[in-house]
Amino acid sequence: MDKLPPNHEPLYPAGETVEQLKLIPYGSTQLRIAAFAIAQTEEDET
Amino acid sequence: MSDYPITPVPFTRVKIQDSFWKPRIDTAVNVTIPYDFEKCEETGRIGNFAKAGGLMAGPHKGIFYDDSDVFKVVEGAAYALQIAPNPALESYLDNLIDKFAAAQEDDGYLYTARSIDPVNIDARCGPERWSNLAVNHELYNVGHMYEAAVAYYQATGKRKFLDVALKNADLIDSVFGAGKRRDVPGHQEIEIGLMRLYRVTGEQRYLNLARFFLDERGRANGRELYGPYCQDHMPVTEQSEAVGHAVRAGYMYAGMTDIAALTGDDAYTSAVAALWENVVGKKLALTGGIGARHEGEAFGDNYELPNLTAYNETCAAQANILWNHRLFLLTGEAKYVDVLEHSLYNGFLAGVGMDGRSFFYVNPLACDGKYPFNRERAMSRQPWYQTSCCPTNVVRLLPSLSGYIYALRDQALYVNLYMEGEAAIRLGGAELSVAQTTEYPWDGAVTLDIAVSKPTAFALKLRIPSFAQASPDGKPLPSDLYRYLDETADPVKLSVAGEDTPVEMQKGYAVVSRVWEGSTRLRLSLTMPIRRVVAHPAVAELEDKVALERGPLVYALEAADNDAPVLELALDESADLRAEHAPGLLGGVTSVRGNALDSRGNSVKFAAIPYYAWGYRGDGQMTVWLKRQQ
Repeated sequence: MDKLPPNHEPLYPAGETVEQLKLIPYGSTQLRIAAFAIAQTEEDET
Repeated sequence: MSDYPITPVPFTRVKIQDSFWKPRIDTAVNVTIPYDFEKCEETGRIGNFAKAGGLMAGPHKGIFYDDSDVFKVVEGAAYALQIAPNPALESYLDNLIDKFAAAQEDDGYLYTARSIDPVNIDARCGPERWSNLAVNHELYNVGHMYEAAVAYYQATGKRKFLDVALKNADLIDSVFGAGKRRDVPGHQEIEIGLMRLYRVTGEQRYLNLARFFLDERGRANGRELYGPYCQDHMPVTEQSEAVGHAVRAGYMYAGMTDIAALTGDDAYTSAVAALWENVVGKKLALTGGIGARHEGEAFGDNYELPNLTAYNETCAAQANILWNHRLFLLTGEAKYVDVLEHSLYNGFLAGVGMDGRSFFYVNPLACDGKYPFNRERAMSRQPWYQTSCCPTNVVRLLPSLSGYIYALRDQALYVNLYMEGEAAIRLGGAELSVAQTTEYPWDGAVTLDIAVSKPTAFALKLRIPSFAQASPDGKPLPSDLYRYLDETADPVKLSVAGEDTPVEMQKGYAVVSRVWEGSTRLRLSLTMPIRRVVAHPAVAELEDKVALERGPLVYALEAADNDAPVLELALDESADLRAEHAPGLLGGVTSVRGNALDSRGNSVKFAAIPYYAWGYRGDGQMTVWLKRQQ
């Protein structure tokens, strides 16, 4: 019984809850990429 | 440690936010769990632990398997804690766990029916420990305790309950096994529980003991076999026909699938495949229910699929869901999820009252308004049963339902069920957010918004349910037991980032392989025509009968919507059928309407509702299968 915490990784850590779900806002990364692309283009033009 | 090649995305990482399942989950969490505990208090189930622990005086109340009901509700409550923290519930559970610990004897034994008064014990329990395993549920009860203890440990990180479970498992391991006592439980469940203990501790003895209990079935090593009722008539790896008590069988098949995954034993893999072929090919009700007979709550013969007298216990539908999920995790084949989905939306859901306080134990496919098909000689959902396995079982499944939606294998993400909501998934070092927007099961349009934290290559595998496929691939269930009368369905449509994409099918999934970057929107369109279903000609009860399905839902006609006696109605092959959504009916359902023929051949209007929604408007006739007018 002293083997706990488990030597087999549990499906989820103790205490994790659905309520705490952390999501990547949809579109945010794409927007950053788009902004980066525009900056690159501007640099190219100058 | 070998395990299933596919890992479910745990329910703690998936939030269901739709109008179909979320109210059911909320009701299970906020109504059924406290209600079940109240009933467990009222009926003495919880008092039995206090009595066994010397905290309270008095004799054992109820039946010797009642301990298991309390454990099942604790398991469901642990899942509820992982949907959202609830200090009051957690404190109640801690108090309950103190009673479990008190009830445990010094050597780890826990069975309140014996511990309270070993001298004046119910004769069915046997005069001594382990002396009547065929009947007494001594090992079954603790199997549920193991599942609950692991769930509570994972929910809270608290070890007290887990330590009670491990101490008990160590005792049982010291008693049973090769070179020790060679016997098996009459009701399977401990096997699944032991394997959960093995997964959480890594302790090989628990896996070995689970395997021992399965290997030993059907082998008369110094004992009499308990027979087909308990699936103890031949070694489990030689079994190919589903027989006996359906819940016992379902739990055993789930346990056997666990053994196949955890040990890689091909004999187990072959046996569960053969058993599944038999169940799905010859013994599965259209609603996904199993166990045709009242007598013995058991499977019938091949093709024995009655309507009025079908048993189809709610717990058996749940067992079928648990088993088919494991088979999917073992193989990655969508056909198992087709069965799971059918059982979930129909056979299981009918058993759970929308109020969260009423339950069908028995789920026939027809009712004549006279025969009290349900337990306790009732025709309606009942608030509780003397044997209350179903009301306490459903709270294990509903709060953890979102764990059945997604799964991972290497660089692949499976989307198995369509339910509106969000998921946060870790795949190959990247964080993924998946948002589903859909009106499923009423509409087959699904939008998936996938955002990744960094460019990641993976295959997205979208399950294409068999109902959305053209015949011959399109079938109500993955066998020849039922077939659609219509030959075609509109093709499945898929667009990725605004571009129409050809649907490449593998094992029942449309596969989209690419390097995912940023955010991507996919639109999946599964058409949901109303489809007529007929059964294999060998099913005598369904000869010249036709049923209706739309999407994953089986439909039923009941007296409340129809003037003519529904058991007498016939459906003409050419009758026009239309779907109408009625937001105010039965929590909001899409009904199927059209014209049928009454017993005198007159055309009469009819309305059908989803099977899960029957039985809320008084006793009366109901039928899934109509006469077929060709």
